[in-house]
Amino acid sequence: MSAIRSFNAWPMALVWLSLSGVLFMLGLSAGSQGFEWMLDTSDPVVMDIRLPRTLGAWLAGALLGLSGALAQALFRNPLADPYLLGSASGATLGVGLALVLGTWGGVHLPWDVQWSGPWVWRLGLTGAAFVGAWLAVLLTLMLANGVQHTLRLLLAGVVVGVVLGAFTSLLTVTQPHLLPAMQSFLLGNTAMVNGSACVLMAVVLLLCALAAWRLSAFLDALGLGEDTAKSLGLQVVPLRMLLLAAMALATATAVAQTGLIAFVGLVAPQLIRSPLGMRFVTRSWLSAMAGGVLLCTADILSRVVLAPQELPVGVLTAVLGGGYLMWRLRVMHGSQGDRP
Amino acid sequence: MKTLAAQGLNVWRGQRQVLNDIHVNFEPGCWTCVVGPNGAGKTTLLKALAGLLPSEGQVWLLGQPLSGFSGRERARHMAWLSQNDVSLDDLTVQDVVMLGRLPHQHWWQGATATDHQVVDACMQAQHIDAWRDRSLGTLSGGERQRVLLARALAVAAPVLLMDEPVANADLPHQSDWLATVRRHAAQGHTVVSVLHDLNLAMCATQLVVMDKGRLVMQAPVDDPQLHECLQQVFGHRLVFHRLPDRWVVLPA
Repeated sequence: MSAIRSFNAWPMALVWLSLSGVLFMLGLSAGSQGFEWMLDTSDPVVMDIRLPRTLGAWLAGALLGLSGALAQALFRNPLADPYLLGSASGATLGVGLALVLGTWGGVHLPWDVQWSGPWVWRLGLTGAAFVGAWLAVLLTLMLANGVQHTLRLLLAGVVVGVVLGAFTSLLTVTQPHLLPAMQSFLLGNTAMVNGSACVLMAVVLLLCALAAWRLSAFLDALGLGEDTAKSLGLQVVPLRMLLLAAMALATATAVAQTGLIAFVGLVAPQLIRSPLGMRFVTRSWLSAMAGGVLLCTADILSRVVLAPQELPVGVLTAVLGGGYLMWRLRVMHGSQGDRP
Repeated sequence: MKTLAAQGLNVWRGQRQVLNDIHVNFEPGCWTCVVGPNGAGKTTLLKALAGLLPSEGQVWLLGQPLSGFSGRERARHMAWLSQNDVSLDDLTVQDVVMLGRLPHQHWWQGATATDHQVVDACMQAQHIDAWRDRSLGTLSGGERQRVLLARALAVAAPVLLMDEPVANADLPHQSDWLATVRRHAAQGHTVVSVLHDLNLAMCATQLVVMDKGRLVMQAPVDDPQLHECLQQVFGHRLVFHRLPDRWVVLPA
């Protein structure tokens, strides 16, 4: 059975991939002096800085888009996103703690040009972010007493997010030398992405996309209700935990490379909604493409809007994503009352 | 052989006992309706029979203890249909019906030719094959119920359990549903449904009357003692009328 099967999925996929291609070229051309239309591939600025940054922005956006689609399907709530369950806040705290331990251990920070251990450092940060995200998810699940009650889960996620955010702030206050690094993470920053980060994100994206494909039937069946999913012989609790882990891994990997980037995980699955039905695998893959396009667009805008000064990309995604959601809420309110 | 049966079935919700020492047996080729006032434990009984709730006592499926079945084995032998909690608006009708074939598929393989044949047959039987590519969110309540029934039938299990399968359905749809359920039972399947509508329930082969977590009576719909039992359970507020082919129950 082909993964993207619905008759409407291929044209949509093609549109998102074409947009990605155009944005990729724009990303290579966008510099501090505006767009340079004559690309010089031997230019180290293009190949060593703009290429990994643009590709990294797309990959981080794709991870967040996939993570958002997973969250929305797992909690059967169109407004769920990776920030729900406190996973993004947990990942940020994990990164913060890793930075503290790293500086105690004498490791240079990743934005230090002299720094010479990209793989170990990236893996360490991603691992710390994953542990933070996963522990945050477990804490949320404990507070919510399981995943059965969506409302309790959402509230627990908000509480955990706020508490872990406070710990991150405390960490920043007590370790002032971390302030620039943590601020960069909290605002979201694609400038830190290098080649090793791209490879890491690509591998995790592939793993999570494969998990979404193989477990698509489970998420589809979950839409029939938990009892029906169980009656179909599905092991609801272990499968749900596996998908939560995939969501935490995707979120953590994106957060460890680019910091906290708001709204991409929430907006991307909304962008690909269609009145024509599609299975979860189609939704998740299209959502990943839409997330990539969103963050890539925000990254390019962050470079050119106030050039030569650069805007934190997280600020732009918050403005763009927040604006989109406000518009959508108004449209929904006008056409359907309060239904999401 | 006990196709579906329970012995000494108890279910607790916290400190409260919601099912109390239930002994019941369901025969193949027979459609049984579970009826009773609100809070009588009808849905709880159905869930306990399906193994969806932790319970004390023994449930038998096809002559063997239900606890001895793996999740997939149980799913292949017992189909479950509930309208509650469905939020599948993004899936097409065909995809929803195909979910009924999950117990027959391994995780590493997709739908087989047999799966497609069964799904096509179920969609044709429910007259929904024309909407196969429409998403569930675009269908009316009655149309969705037909799709969900086709999904449950696609499991092709010898036992079919349904919790309020025609809630809020209009009369033509109720008529179609009745025809489907009777045909399904006539083919030798065991059908158990929870219904609020006593008139629909009286079209079944037999009733199981529940009250306050206890099974009060299990009897064919023509049994006068059953009518007396229903009167007691519903506070003597019913009137039974016999039509040529069925019983009609009206408020007194």
